[in-house]
Amino acid sequence: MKGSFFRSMTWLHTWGGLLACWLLFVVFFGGTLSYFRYEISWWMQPESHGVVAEPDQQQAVQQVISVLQSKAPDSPLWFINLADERNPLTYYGYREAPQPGQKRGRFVDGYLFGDSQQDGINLRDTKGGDFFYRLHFDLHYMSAITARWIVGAAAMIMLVGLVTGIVIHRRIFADFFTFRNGKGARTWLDLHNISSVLALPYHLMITYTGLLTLMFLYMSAPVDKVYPGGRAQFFDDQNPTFQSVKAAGQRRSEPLPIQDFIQRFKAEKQVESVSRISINNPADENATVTVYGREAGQIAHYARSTLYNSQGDALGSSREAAFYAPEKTANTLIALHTAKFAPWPLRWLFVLGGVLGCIMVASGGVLWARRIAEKRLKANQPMGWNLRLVQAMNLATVAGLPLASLVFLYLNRLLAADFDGRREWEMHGFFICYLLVFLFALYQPGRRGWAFVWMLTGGMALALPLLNLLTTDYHLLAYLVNGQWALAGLELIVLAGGLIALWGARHCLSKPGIAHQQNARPGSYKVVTQ
Amino acid sequence: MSYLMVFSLLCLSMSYFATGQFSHFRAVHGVKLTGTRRQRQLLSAWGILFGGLLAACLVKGFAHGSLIWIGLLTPAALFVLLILQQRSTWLQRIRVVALLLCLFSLIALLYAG
Repeated sequence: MKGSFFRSMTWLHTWGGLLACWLLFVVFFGGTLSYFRYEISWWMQPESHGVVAEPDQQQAVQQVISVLQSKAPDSPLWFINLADERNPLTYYGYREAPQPGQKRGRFVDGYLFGDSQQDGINLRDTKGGDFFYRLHFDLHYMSAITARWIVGAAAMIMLVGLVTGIVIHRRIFADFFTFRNGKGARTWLDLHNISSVLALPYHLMITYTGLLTLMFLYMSAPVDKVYPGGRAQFFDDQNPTFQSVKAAGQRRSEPLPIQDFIQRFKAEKQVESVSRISINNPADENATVTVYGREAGQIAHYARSTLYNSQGDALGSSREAAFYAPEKTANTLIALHTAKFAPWPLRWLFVLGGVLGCIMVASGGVLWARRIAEKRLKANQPMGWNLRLVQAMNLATVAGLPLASLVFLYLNRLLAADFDGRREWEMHGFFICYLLVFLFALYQPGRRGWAFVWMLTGGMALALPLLNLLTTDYHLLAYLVNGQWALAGLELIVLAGGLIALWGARHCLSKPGIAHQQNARPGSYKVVTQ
Repeated sequence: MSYLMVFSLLCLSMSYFATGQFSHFRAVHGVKLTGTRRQRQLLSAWGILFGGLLAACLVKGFAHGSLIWIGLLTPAALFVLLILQQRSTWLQRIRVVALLLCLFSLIALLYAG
């Protein structure tokens, strides 16, 4: 304890926040972009921009099944993702028969055109929006499990930071509408408070539900110890469609009546449409079909699904009607985190919460550095390597991540469509840019550094629609004319972001602030006013 | 339309919360806030806030309605904050516009059935 309860809470809030703020920014940034995951993926595959979604789901299923029958009649697994308003393409995948020495065969996937449902569309290899989605909990260049533990620890610190922040913010109601501009560290404090308090329900919800999504990783012991059969059995029992039926080894004489299964599923589960279909051993007598429903308007994470055998008997069905109270709670809370249920206006409210989360974390980090710099300036003390490191991390993370994201989008258009390893190099480009901004920030952590990175970000953002026009057959106006609002919206958001970045650059250059000049001795810096 | 209605109500509510504070009241009205008047401002703010919740739940159901209401609190508060920062004297006009928008969206919702 640091003297008093209030001081202890302040200490915990400050140091816990500082320790995790850069990682939390990455998580918030990636998570916020994940709300546009499918739209980013769509933009990053321009070959599909001319596609119009097939309105008749029945016809789409029939066509994709005939393609799979011609391409992979003996495959042990077929997988179909049907198109919807956010995903204009019908996706299919199949597993090839394993080669000698292989446990499982290669997984091959592709897309069908939405309008004519003809096979043969060659989309460029890219991770698309999934990169940001994975980044926000799996990070990169490390095992997913390790990353999830690290992100979980950061989320826990965030939760502690929110609670301690509420405790230490004594004027939470008095300062509710207060923002004092141009007052140095106080301005950053006001920005930190506003972004935290105005979106507090969102911050609490997203942090708590984020931890909840991985609860069986973080707190696996109760299920492992108490549930008969452990976690594997628990998941099997929780979702009875997780059953494997062995192949009989006898070839089916007739194709599977998938359409009948879908009609029956819709009637049984009271769903309007189907989102995906998975077929095991499609050519075998013991084929099984799992149909997943699309949850329209329901705040639910677990999709309604049924596993059918080849005769159409239900072998297992999702048990949403028989959920226990904890399952219902988890179903709702995890759905709130992913927001897949959210219609566009509500999705935008989630995005606003995410943006405010980014501002909260960023302003916290900048505020810490600013206060220390001001203290040292008053005491005429050297800046020190630790402050310079924090400033560099702030710059690299807050301004560097948007720039790195633009580099990611630029590489998507500039690397040749058939370039081997393009998917990886798009991601490498993101991290190389992040690293370069960090190195630059170590050299120039002050306002000029910020201004330069914001200027670069703004310039690249404003030029993105032009790059799209030059490297593909499509452009912003075409998207607007064709009513492809997702694609047009993405470019318009980037344009707006570019203007904000340029405003930020101008702001950094126009305001006098604290500048730091390097002394002759390495590692020692003197603080001077600009 | 339901979003517009709830947003206008929340803007109204937030504006009363803001003028329930001494400094903002003086900036908006140019006079000192008295105790009774402060109570009236805050009572109106809380009343409209819960009215907004009720309206959201009636139109969109409890699950979606409450979610929309919580979600719209943030932009409504941000909007009022922005007005106070830039043109605090506009707050009264904003209230009138919010009220009109609320009525318009209510009529549109009733008309649409």
